[in-house]
Amino acid sequence: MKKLSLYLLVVCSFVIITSTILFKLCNEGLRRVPFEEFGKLNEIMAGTTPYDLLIMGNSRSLLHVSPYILDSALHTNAYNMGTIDGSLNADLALLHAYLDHHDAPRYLLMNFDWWLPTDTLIRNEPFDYPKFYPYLDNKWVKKYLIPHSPQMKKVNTLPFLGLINYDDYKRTAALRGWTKSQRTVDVYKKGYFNRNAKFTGKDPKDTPPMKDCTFSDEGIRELDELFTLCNEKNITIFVFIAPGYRINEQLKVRQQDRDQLQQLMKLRHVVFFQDYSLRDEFLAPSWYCDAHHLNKEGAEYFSRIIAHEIEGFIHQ
Amino acid sequence: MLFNSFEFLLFFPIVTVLYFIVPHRFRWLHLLVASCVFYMFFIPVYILILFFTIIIDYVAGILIERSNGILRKRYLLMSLVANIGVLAVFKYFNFFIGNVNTIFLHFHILPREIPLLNIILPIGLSFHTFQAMSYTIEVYRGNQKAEHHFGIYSLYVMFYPQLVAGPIERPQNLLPQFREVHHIDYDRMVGGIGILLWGLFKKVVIADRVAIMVNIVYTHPADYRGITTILTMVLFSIQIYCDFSGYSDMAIGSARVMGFKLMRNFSMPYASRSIAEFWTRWHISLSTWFKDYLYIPLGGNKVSKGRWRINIMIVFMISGLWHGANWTFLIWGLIHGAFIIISAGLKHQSHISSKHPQRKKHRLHTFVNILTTFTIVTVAWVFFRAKTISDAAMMLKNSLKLFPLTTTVILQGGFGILSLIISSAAILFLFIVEHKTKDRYELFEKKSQYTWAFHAVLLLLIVTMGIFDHQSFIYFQF
Repeated sequence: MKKLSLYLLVVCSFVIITSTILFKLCNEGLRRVPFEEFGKLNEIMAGTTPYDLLIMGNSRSLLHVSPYILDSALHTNAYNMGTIDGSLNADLALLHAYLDHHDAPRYLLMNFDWWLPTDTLIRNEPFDYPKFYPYLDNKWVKKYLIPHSPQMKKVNTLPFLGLINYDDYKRTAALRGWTKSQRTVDVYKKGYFNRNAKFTGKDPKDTPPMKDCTFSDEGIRELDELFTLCNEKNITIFVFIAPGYRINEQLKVRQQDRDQLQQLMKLRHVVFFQDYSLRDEFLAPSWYCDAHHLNKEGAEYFSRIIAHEIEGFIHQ
Repeated sequence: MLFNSFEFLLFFPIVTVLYFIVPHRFRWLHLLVASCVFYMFFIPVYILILFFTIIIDYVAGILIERSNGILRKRYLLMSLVANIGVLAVFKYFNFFIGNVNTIFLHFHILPREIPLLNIILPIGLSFHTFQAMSYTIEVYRGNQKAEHHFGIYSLYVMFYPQLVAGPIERPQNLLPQFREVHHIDYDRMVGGIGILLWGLFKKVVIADRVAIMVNIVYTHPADYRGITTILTMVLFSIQIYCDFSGYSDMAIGSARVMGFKLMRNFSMPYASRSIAEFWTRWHISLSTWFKDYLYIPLGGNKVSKGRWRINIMIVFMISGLWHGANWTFLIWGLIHGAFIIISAGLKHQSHISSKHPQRKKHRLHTFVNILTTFTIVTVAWVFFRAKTISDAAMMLKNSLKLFPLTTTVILQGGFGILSLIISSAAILFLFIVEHKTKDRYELFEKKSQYTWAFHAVLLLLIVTMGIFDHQSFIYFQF
């Protein structure tokens, strides 16, 4: 019994200590990555490059708005902070963290989806949560993301469990961070990412994340918190609803929720452009790479429209 | 509950510690409750199906023992019908009706489709059904006394380490062990933990990693060709071995920690020199089940050659369908059956033509035989893994298109250079460990000054290199 206990103690202690050290080393490596997803996260969480226009939101911001097109039209220095499967929690954490290290931008451009302030999205575990592990000690990650993720809570308490959530992409990125090796082609350009694929309009799997988009109190509170933060920092907020191939036709949004959103935007001086998914020109599947996302060609066309809208507002 | 889950990390030590704390007379109850909890992590209500067959077989066992002549046979038949009936409803009904619909609608015999059942297959159904059937058959044959303790009989069917994916135990081996008093034994427990870790290593470091690439290619087989397709076929052979033998190791290891000895299920199958040998090394508990309860009752090899060939094809056809209700599994089984018949024929021919004593088999000869067997097994796995026969045919056709001699998939879908390096190193490690030790459990059972270090390194590799995305075991679906 004594020998068995000693065996368990020695083996477990060795593994716990070694994997904790390796986890810390991995995170340090990831914090040094200058490219791709971690490069972008590192720029947001710890970077210092000043940007005067931030594009924020989920993948429908990430893939839809090219900072280069906005820059050339508006003479700004824009950065796309959009994240795949983003949520309001993630947006709040990222914006707060960004503002800790950077001067406030002049403008914030944000995609709004009707499902964002719903309970399902607010309470969901953040998508690909291990990407936030290098920043578990960040106060905004602690406030907005960890409470929604049982696994992040677990790793925050028992760091040796963190490595089991890393996939080979993250392990490779950590090694690259340490060896300072560069990517020949960084798929993220000023945070922006695009796809070349052409959508046929016939993929049955491409339905919205949920059809019933009843806003939750917490969702509205977080949206308000985001707008208020921008108001406090004198950031002008532009909101749009990104084009999607017939996805919004399937959504059920209550009139009272639409009214509530409108009131909130009015109260917080948000400039709402429009729901671009309703425009006839975006009903052609050839603009898309899937039902939710524009392809490269579509995104460039859409970015020019957005640039034109912002330009109109600025000249006003 | 999956062996590669956080839940099991808590479940296993709790159940094991309690097992040694609980007095011996209540241990069966403790294990039965634990097994129920383990099973109910999947679809809780399906435990009722399990208890339905348990009650039938328990009663059947006692009745068979108490009766003589034709009545014994009837009770056995009752048990077999109940077990096969459950399998037929849950596993084969939709397959059968689907085919009836296709044929009858094609010839306009039916006005409309017969509706399919909207049910999910209970996890590990074929495993525990076969284990239960072996009990009543053995009681009928007089090799096993009927178990009168309902709890212990239930535990025989439900013992959690091997409940959902085997090894398919025999009552003579497992039932007496539930009455044995197991004490804390350092060597046995550390050996068991070692086997458990080895299985987990094979599952999370190798099987689940190569599964990333395998899944990409098998989802869109038309998009890949040449080296990529061939590499995927080989990787699936490795994946299924590491996945299934990994599960068996974890089952054997976790049972051994508590003092139970489960039968071996694998013995370096890819080192086989023929398909017949492969089936003495792969899924041993199933192949011996078919041998004892189907092949030998059909006459085995003590029949005419023609009849023997039919027997072999019947056994492998049923073995294929045991795995899944799909034509692809049937073809997989038939390929194995056909190659056993062909190789037996070739062996016979070479025996007649050679007037000299059998040539001394040298290494090259053995190597060629192993390589040929591995190639046949790998090609057969294509039918096992593909969703449809046309997908399998597409894979095989595309594997012959050798150009371009490059692979593009490796950098896609999360299977990058690092994945390839880790997989290759881990496969090499697996090869060294399993081939150098001949019997891989030997390594974990022998007392060695390096045991602690080996276990610590193995656990560290699991934690740092494992893929923990809760991938289920391939054989759970059967």
